[in-house]
Amino acid sequence: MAGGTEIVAHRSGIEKAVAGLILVACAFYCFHALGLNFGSLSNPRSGFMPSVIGVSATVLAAVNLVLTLRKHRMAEADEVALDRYTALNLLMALAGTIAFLVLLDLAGYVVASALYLLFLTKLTRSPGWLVPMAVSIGATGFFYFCFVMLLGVTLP
Amino acid sequence: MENFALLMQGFQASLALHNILAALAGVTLGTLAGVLPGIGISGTIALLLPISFGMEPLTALIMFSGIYYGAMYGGSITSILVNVPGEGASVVTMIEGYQMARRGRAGAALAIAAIGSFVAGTLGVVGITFIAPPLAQVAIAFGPPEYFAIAALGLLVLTNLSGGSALRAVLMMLIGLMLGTVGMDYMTGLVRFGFGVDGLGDGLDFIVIVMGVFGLGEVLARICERQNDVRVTKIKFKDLYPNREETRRSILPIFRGGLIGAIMGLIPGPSGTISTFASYALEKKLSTRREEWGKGAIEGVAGPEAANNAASSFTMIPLLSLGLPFSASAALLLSGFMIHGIQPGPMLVSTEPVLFWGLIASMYIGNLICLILNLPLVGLFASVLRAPMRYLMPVVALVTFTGAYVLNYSLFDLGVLTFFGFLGFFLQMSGYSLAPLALGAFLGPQLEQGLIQTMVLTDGNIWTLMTRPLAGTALWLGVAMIGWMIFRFIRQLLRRSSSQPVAEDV
Repeated sequence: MAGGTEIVAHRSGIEKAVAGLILVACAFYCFHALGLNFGSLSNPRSGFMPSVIGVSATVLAAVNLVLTLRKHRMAEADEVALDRYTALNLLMALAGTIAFLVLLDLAGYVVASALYLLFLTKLTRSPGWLVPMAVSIGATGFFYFCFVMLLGVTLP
Repeated sequence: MENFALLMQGFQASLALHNILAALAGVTLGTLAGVLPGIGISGTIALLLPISFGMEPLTALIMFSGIYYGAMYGGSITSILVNVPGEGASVVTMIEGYQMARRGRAGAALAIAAIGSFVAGTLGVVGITFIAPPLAQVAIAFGPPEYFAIAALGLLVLTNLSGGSALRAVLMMLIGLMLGTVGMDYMTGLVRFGFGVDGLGDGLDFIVIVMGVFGLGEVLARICERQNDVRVTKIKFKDLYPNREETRRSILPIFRGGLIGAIMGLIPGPSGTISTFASYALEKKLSTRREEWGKGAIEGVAGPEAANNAASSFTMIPLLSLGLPFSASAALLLSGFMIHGIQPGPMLVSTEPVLFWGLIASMYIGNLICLILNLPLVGLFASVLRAPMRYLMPVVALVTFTGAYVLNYSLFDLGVLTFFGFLGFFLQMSGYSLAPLALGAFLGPQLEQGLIQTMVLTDGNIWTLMTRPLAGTALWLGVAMIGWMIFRFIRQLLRRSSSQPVAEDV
């Protein structure tokens, strides 16, 4: 489904992006936390703990980003983190998972799960169609039996 | 004597046929899932929690106990046969165990790992039997300040010991605490960080978070990478017995490892992993056959395996007596208890004695069944590794989604699971430790409750806390630890700026 060994991202690139996103997430949390009622030291309200955590996390996330950028400026060698094959597979896995969640609501567990399993087994380059289909239908049927028949659980 | 009689009652309850079957199922499933490379104990427990639905509480606890011990042994099988550690604590076993497998002694390595795990695990449970009840008695007198101080100190120790960068570990812990604040505030009833989304009003389910970061994240990594066939050493039943020399050389390391694990197990954090390294180092130092180390010294399997199991058992002491988990897998076990309406903590011994002692008894039984079942069936479990990952991992992904749905019957949770699965994948790739995040998310609400009650009790004067014997000691230790972390951080920065540019961990 996906091929090629071209480099999509080095480890340094991923680390910088993750450190940046963590800072954004912490700042976003902090912004909302500071909007909650802090109360006072003797009468803390719902914003007390979130404000303390939010400010601390934002400061640390900023330090982490600076150190990550510095670290990779100094580093000589860089490891390949994502090649084209892995990156495309990851994107397709995400798209497939979202489609599975939508289908689960629309078509129910059995259909959505069988199709999702078939998709994932083909994503991992399973040869032919017969075995992937057998695995998909067999595993879906087995889980349906275990959860619905044996454990009495309701599935969508 | 009274405790002994209660333990016997616990055994009586645990030895009912359906409970034995639950233990067998738990050990089998735990070992099968633990064998899968990369899933680890936390991932295994998270994946298997939902299958306990519909069971009686004691039966479910017995199955969890089996899963816990089974998953630990499953990790050892992968390390010894494939040279891939299932989790951090199996890394050391891999060094000597895989070398033994290459010399044709895989069976002996697996048998010694199983026996060492059984002996140390049982000693650990004996420790729980004697330590947990009196500690729970003492803990009844604890107030919110004590709980807050112990939980805060535990998280701080964890961030120091979780390996890698302390800064990143603290950051992960804070992000975990943030996740714990999402949802309804217990004091005011106000929904925080809900952003108008219905599913966020009830907060984020800790188990779904852990299933995402530890389970789905790892499965995604396996699905997305190029599939390589795994070479597994074949085991014959007759090869399973260690010879007399191997048995003799393993006895003392097992007991020493058990002791190291017991001491380390009481320290919050990845005590299992740390104790295996400590045991390995000690055995190597004491060995008179230094030339064998790195080439398959059996002491290097026996000691660390025993240490890991004793540590894992001893982490149950704060969990059962205080209700505070200090490792991701213990937090998951606690979640499993809570699914069945059981709240571990000081009151459990007095209010639910049959359940408490039944759980202790189930640990003895789970340990024994793990030994009995795993020794003859090790070849069968190892064959899981021969199953093509291209089929196995998609099936594990579906189990994860099904299990996460069943927790709350919520499609929203599946979205949360997907988000945390991808988040876990990228965080792990970037070198962030996930255990502090999981524990922060779990302990967050307890910490907040403890902190707010403490502030109200002390009228906002946090210094009053420092005068309370236990809370004060824990908090002063915490302050000293923060001071040490800051000192280390500044020293590292100064060294970096004065030396040649070298790539170091943040």
